[in-house]
Amino acid sequence: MDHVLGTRKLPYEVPSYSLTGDVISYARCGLQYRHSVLGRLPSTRPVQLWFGQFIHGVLEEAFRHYRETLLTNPRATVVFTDAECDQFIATVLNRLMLQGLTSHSKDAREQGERRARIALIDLAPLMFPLITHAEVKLTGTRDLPTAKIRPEDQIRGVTKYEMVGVVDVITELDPTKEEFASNLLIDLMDEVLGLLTGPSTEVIVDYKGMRRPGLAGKKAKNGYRELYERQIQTYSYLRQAQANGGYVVGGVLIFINELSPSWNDVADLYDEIKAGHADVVPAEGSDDHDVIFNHRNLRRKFDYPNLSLEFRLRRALLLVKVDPKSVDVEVAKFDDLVAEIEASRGREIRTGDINQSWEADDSDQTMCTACDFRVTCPKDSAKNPGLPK
Amino acid sequence: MTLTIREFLEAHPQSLDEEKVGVIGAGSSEALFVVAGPGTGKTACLALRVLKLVYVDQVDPAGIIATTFTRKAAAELRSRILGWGYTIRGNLLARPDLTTSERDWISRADINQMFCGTIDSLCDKLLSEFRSPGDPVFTSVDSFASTTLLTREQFLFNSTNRKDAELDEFLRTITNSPKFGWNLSAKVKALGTVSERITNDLIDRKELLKSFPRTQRSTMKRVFDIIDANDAEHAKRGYLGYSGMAREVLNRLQQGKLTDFTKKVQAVLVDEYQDTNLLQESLYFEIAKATKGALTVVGDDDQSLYRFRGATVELFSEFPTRFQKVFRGKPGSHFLKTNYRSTKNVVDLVNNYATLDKKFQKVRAKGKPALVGASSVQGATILGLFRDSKEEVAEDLAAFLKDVFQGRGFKTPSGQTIKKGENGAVGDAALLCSSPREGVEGDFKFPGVLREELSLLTKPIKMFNPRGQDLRANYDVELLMGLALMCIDPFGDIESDIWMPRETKPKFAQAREIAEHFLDDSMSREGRKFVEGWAERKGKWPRRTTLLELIYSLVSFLDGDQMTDPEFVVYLEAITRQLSVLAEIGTYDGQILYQRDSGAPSKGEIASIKEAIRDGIMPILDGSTELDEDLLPTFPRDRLAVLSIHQSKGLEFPLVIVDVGAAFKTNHASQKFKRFPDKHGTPQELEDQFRPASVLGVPTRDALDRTFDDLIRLYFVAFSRPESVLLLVGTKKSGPNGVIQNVATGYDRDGNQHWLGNSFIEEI
Repeated sequence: MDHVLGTRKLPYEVPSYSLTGDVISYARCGLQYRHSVLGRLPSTRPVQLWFGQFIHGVLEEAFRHYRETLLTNPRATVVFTDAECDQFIATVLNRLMLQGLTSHSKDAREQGERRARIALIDLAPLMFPLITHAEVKLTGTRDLPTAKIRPEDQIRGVTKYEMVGVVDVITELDPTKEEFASNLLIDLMDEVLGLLTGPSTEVIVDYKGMRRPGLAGKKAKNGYRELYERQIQTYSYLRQAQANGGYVVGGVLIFINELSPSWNDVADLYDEIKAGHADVVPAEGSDDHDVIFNHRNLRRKFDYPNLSLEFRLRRALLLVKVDPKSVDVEVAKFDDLVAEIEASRGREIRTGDINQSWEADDSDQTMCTACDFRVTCPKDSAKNPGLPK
Repeated sequence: MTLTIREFLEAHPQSLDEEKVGVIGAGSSEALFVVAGPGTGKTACLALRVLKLVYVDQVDPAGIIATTFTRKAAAELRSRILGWGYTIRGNLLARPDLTTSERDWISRADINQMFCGTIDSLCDKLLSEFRSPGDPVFTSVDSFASTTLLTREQFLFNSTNRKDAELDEFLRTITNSPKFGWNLSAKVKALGTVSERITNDLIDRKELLKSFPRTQRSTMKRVFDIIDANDAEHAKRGYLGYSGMAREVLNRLQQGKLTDFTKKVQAVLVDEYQDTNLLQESLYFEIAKATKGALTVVGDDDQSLYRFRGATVELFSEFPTRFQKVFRGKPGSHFLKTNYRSTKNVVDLVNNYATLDKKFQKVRAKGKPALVGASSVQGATILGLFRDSKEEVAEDLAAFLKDVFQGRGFKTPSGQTIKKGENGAVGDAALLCSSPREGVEGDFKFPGVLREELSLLTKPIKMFNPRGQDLRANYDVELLMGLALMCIDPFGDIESDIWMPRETKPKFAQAREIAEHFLDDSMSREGRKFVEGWAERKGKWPRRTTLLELIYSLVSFLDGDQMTDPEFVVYLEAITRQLSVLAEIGTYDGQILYQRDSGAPSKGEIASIKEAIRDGIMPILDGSTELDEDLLPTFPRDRLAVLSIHQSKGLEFPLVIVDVGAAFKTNHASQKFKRFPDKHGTPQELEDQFRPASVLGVPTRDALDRTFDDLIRLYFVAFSRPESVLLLVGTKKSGPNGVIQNVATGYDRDGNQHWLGNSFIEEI
């Protein structure tokens, strides 16, 4: 009698993909994604995480403190004393040190502390009263684009995938609320997002521990603006799918360095303005304009540039309008990349060969130069690594 | 209308048996004790219960906590909930008779918001998301970092601890470890196990001290001191191990510090409850208090395999009484007995096996019914391949696999033909062993011999067995470490200045020797230039380089295209993870300094190399660094999967080959613990020593009996994995008709052989 073996069932596992951790990384280079994300091979050049983590930590710690105060005093205002600022900063510095994260120099640490302090003094009073949720984990389930994956490369017995992300802060803005009437942050957001004319709405806020990228040029940080804007669109999609999610009209990226720029930042901004690569520029004849255009002289006299709060806030905020159409476009792009990742995983399982299964992308040689897997990459002709230089 | 359980189930595309309906349909506030045999669909049952709580009882998904034992199992449970949840939701919303409020609820309820993960991830979440301002933020550390820190701070840097012979002997005795193989790595492991046991069993230290003879109390105190010093060392860095996290969460729960979390919780569901420990039970009970006892536990005492990690199976089998003591009410007991996985023949064997040892019946959950096969297919008879030696077993097993997966099928003496399916591949089969280790040249274990035999086939069959070798015994790993040593410390001067256990020194010598041979015989000219360049470090050289960078560079000089092989990448991941630990806890962050301003290497440069060798390379070569099971990727379709029985839990394969005794040629005493123990092991010893100082109390069952129970459970799990065909392999002497006593081939603990001449195993 014949006993025909069945085929091993595909595992029933809904995969989880995040925009920053998976999709963007895969889009850069499939093979590098396989090794660094799926294979968890660490990088020899970890991105300098310290400032980003530090600033997020300080703002989170201060917000927890403020929220705790609200329990006993619902009308408490956000005014932190110097001692409180010191305490938040010290707590987070210590925590990061325990995790082995330190700034690369004393200057960088001092600059970071100064930026954190100014964020607590200038940004927190405007931002914290608007916050309804902090550190929000977003998850949503979408159809796995199986039609775009060859049947032999399909590796799961599921038809869904999970899209995930974490948002720093969600604000809920009710235009009828009196206390918001004189909030400069709301005014600036209103200019682009039109908050004050509609019903109660949500805005997604993400802190970025960096300067505002220029539109082009050396300091533009190629692709970062687009990436962050895409992030807001997908987060909006996820937030709106949540049961307690409100109507999201847009997102705000806050480039923390712009709240307290250094003279070097101002010099970069000057270059960008001259080259036509800056999207937020001071009005001609304004004090801010003078500071930027006279930066070479002024930096000899003053430790820090004296720019107005409004200008600094305008530079710090990058507003991203969200509508159903823009969200659909981004989410569809996300689906497509998920299909590619799944197909590559399927090929690897079928063939047991990593290089044949994952596309290596050598179009951006600056990325390849910094890639740890360059020496074993099928697309790299210089097979052997040289000695350290 | 009010949605009923039947209407809810109609929205689910698959029909369910009544035993599952009883569990799924129980009231939302009820406590449930679910005993689920293998292949009875317990994950499905749990997933549907969660969905019923949401859609029928209108429990907020954010108030549902579901945990299970491994990340893989948690991912599967979550996947079932999400996968089925959206289908059920769609089907329910298509009903015209829903009330407006029901429709509104079902549309709004967001099942993504439920928590589904391991207990470790739950603790991590509670400590990070629900902390008060100023509360410390902990970083959960895995065993890699924990073990390295313990080894370095408490032994390598502490010669008093290292040289303490009394401590050495005490640790060896209380863990019942053999003298053979007792080394620093084993000592650190033993100390880690003792420390975990103290935390997990909620041990009262004073009571524990009292339970030891006076002569041993001061040594036990020394153990406490080392554990405390180690905890302090972790705390200094903001680290917490998994047990420490659970303990901290329990403290915070008991102090009412997590009310923001508990006030939301409405239902707690725990899978694989048979592998729970006392600390975890306390934690679950504490959380369930917020729900007034809406606690569902699911498990199978017959599949409890983790006593060695502190699991206490009685917490499951005695759950009804333990629950009642805390919550007054009695949980509803349910038995899932219908097996949907296997053919009738396999189910019959599993039932036969579970009941042949009389004494084992006493520890099985009360009232447990036999498994009932849902399949109408009788299936192939159980096959047995028994030969005189492991080499012969391997040769004939390779031929069997060739016939099944490359030929027209394998014909058994009785005329049965085992064939692969239409799209079948060797990935449809798995070899399960008590240990998948392949051994080394000159001392190959069965999986190693099989790999060789499979490679000799005309069309070779590859194996996928990343756990086949100790990391340190893998040739590529040794080679990489040897080459790294030749680069950073070419003459071994710095290495010789590092204290290392006597048994570790030869590992270094071997790694260097392998590297030297490779350099002389196989390495490319560029590779030799690279290693020599590193060793000399002449000319312009960066002031800092990392060991990690060096390893990645060296990989490119190995034979073949290693980075394209998923198995090699798993090994590389373990190496690099150890190097990341070095970067985290080391003074030099994993960097090799270059400071030769005065011509000779500075003290700093030497210290950085010393640290790289001691905390980076040594843990890999001395066997402290291990592969993490969770990291293993999905098995490739074109390879034979080789797994430990522990790893196979929760998995199923069309064809399962179980190694029941390929290594047993004689009735050798050293192998008895694997087949017919004559003494108990470490976990049982620790239970006897420590439980008197815990509320668990002294075990009522004899330690040797518990050792037998565990061995029976191990093969119970193995035998219940196949869907269609089960093939037992071993030596003739260890088989059902052999003379070697073996629990896996029909012996009970009293030495009676129940399978002798039995017709349900067809020898091939």
